[in-house]
Amino acid sequence: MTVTPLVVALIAFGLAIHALPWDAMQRTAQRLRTLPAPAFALGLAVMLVVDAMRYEGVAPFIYFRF
Amino acid sequence: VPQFQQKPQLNRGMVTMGLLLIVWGLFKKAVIASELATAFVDPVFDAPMMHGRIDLILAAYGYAVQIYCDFSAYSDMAIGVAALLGYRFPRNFDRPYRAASLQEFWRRWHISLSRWLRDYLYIDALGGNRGGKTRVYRNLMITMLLGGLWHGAAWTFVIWGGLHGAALCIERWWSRSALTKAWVLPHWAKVVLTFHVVVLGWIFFRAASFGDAIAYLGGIFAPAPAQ
Repeated sequence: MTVTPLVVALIAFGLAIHALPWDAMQRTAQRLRTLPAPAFALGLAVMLVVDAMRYEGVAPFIYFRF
Repeated sequence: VPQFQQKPQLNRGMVTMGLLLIVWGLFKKAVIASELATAFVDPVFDAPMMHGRIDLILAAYGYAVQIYCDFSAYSDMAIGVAALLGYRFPRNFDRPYRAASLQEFWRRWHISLSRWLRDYLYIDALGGNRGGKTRVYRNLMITMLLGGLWHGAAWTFVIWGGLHGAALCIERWWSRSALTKAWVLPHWAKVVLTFHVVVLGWIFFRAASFGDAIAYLGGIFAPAPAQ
């Protein structure tokens, strides 16, 4: 058996975030909108750093095949 | 597209929503879909006969999560980029695995393609629900088989489309039969049943060949060898 606790956690987490309503995204955007500009910029900078550090071997999107 | 006739309206709200969708999409793709694919789903689907029943079942669920996270990420990022350019695009996914029927699933999954197939193929080209029962079932089957072939010229996609078409026909027959009143399934059971029909379809969709898909299903459903 090759399944690991991380894989099970990813499946469960993926199903959980799938259940998030679109409204949740809009409410989060609404909250972020009210942040002061420096805090917003800092958040963006952190996200860019995280993105730069991510695993390099990400496969192309599945739908690029079709 | 009416929005292209006007000057794009860009405001702080759209920029925030756009950035959020891009980051959310990046997270779903790079963290969940990619990790699931490389760590588990791809190795199991590449050699189904080398894995046990638990791995096969979990990899099928894993692929359901992977393809949702991958494709909805792609859509979210496209919607986000459009928002940064001042255009409002509709969402392409609406919690598809919460659907309580296949018909509902196709109203929630890849909404742009589903609507296109419904409006231009099922209704305009084939006549939709007009005509007798047989004609409606035929239209459903043709629409889903062509929807499958749209993904590629392979038997696995034909079977995937055929499975969805057949399930939609059975669902339609069931909803109009007297059995519906005699045997009422609770909502949660319908969601679970629909999810498993979709997962069954994903096995054909993901398998490298029809033979691999059959071997995969054999690994799940075949009785365990006697000790």
